[in-house]
Amino acid sequence: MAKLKLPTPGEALDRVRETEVWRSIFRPGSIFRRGYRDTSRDRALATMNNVLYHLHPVKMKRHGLKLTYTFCLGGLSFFLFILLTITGIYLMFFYRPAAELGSAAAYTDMQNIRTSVFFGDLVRNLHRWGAHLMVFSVTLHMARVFYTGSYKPPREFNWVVSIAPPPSSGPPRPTRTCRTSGHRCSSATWSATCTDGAHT
Amino acid sequence: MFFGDLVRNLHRWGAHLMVFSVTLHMARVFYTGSYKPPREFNWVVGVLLLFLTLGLSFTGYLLPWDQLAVWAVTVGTSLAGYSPLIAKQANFLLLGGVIVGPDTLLRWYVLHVLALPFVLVIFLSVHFWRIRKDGGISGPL
Repeated sequence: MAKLKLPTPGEALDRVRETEVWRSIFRPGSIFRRGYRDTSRDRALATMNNVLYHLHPVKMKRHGLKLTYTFCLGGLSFFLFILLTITGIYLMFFYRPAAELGSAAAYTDMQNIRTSVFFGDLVRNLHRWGAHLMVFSVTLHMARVFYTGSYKPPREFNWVVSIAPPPSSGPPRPTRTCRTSGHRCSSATWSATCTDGAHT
Repeated sequence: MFFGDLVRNLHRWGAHLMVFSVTLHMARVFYTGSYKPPREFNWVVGVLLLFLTLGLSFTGYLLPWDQLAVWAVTVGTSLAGYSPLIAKQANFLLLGGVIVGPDTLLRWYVLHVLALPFVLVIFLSVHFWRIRKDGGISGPL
């Protein structure tokens, strides 16, 4: 009987890297793929071949990488949002938003989460502290964007998106310029002032 | 409820139709051979999406909380009671207890409205994204 030769850890890793599953998950440009080279092409591919990374620009300005420019505040806010989503879903399994007199299920459910639910107090406090921290990080993020002047064109629309106007003010109305009279008017008034429908 | 029956039936028939269309979509992809490389990864994602669709369909089934729903879910979760090694734990996890009760309703409601849609959106993003990365629509037969 031939002696079974065990592959070295390096050989075993290479064998795994050649499987279809591995190559399907780690797309061209991934550092976990065989034949990866640190070139502009592979760096661009790494960004473009990942569903999350492709939302990022392929190239960015050098000063943007400095920790003291962004302080990672936007990323921290997004991380906290994901943390709050996952912990929030877990808490929902044990919480009924019911406040009928005499039962007050909501409050007893909350107390039950803190005392009886598996990891309940941990998850509740992750959610609680995550929520406080997100208000804090979002505020700091906004301050950073203001102080670096990052709200200026072409980023003014993204600044507005980040404010999320209060419901009472309603969505901003588009303004249009009347080609014949030159009036700028909102969509609520343009049919009255520009009856010929000539708008740009 | 304002438009209640209309919206409920849109949801109900939409759900039935989605199971139907997802099944037909899977058959189409199979018969046109579109699961073949380089699209094999997207086929796997698609199979996960099918299970998620069936999971959403099944969790929605309990929500009317009528006799049909309760007994269908009793039968459905009993299947988990025949899984090897973790039979009792799997059953308990699905029911939130030992019988179909209020905790089961809460559990399946959260799965239906948040947990499963959350996972579904993630896999849908990858699925649509991967269509583009694998060269768009598959070639003519």
